[in-house]
Amino acid sequence: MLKKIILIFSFIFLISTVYSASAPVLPASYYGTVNVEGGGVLNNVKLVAKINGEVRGSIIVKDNKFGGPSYSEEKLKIDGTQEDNGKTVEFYIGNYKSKETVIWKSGDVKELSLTFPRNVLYCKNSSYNNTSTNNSSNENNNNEKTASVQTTTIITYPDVAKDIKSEKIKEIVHNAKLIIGSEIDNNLSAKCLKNTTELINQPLEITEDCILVGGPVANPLAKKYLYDFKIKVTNDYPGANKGVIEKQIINGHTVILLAGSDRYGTKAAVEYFKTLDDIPSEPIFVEWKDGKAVKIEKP
Amino acid sequence: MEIITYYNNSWKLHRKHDLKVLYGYYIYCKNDTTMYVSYNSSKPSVPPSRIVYKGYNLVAINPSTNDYENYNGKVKLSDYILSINNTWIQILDAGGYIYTRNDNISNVYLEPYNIYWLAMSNKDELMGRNVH
Repeated sequence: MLKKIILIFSFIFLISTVYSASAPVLPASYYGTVNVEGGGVLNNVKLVAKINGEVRGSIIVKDNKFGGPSYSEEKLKIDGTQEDNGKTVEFYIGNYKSKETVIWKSGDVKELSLTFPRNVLYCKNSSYNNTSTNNSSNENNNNEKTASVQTTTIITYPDVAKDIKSEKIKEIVHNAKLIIGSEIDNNLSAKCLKNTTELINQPLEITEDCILVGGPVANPLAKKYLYDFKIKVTNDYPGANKGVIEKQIINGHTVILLAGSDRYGTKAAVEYFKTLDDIPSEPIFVEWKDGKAVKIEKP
Repeated sequence: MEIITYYNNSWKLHRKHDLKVLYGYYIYCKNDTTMYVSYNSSKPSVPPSRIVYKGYNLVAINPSTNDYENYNGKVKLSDYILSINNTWIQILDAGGYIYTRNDNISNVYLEPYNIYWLAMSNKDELMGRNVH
């Protein structure tokens, strides 16, 4: 008897899953801009919309914009049911929530201006896989394929030089403290790497990852830790217009030395460092020649 | 502006210029406007058809010449569902009227170029009428 009841309930359940009592309700669609407090550019980051903590839609932000008003442009489409009318939609990039919310209403097509905290620029969702159906109409495709989309999120660091070649070096420069010993090195070299530097006039303890710009004459920290590095930069070595890029772990922190025998040697080290894919495991010798940094053999 | 359709059980933004016969579309406009729709029927073509999926499908009606001659462009529901006679469940119009396969539909007519929600018990192919 119990088995019969279960079978009857199963049958009713199967019938009810064939179609729901009411037809689907129109989704809400949004497009607009994403602003970062204090400024900054978000590019190729995923903007996610949630209702009651449940992800309902997403779109990729490009140059602080998502979607557009024209029918030919993409929109952030948020599906819902009649019960969702009046519920609050929240917007996220990574774990950061926008200040603004919107009330979900079936059929809405709205332009939004969303504001995120400055830290959104530094969120670490470096990549993600998003398996979803194509957002645009594919009614001609009867194969019912599910498109697999892989998107790499590129974080823009507003404080580091845009001409740094690799994302890894950008991140390293962004996360490290840039320490200089003279304004001349700052103006000639360091500010071409990062726009926030710390000028010191006495040797400090190294308590975090840092990049030392300038040789031992100009930079007190370079002087203090000179003998921790494999190559000892002096006024005479590696020589005029020559410099070195090297790394050492000091006090458990990664310290990168970009230093030269003179200011153009330091500039060569900084400029060549910007072209690298990663921190070199062995020292690299460079020279400032004909207005650019070139790699040279060990002098 | 936005054009959206419902296909294979999900909403799809329609970002192309062309609209297809037998597909229903919602078009969102900020202001009242006039939309000109024309058929590209310069060449003889096979009458339209489309896949309809289990669940709801947003469909549209295209009348044939004899629909205009006999019913002022309206299409008999019994004719419309001929190709899906074993798989259709019900059809809803925008005004909320429902016609099911258990109803007597011999005198039910569908309005030309209106959209309808067609509920299906299985995937099938809906055959359209010649493009008028």
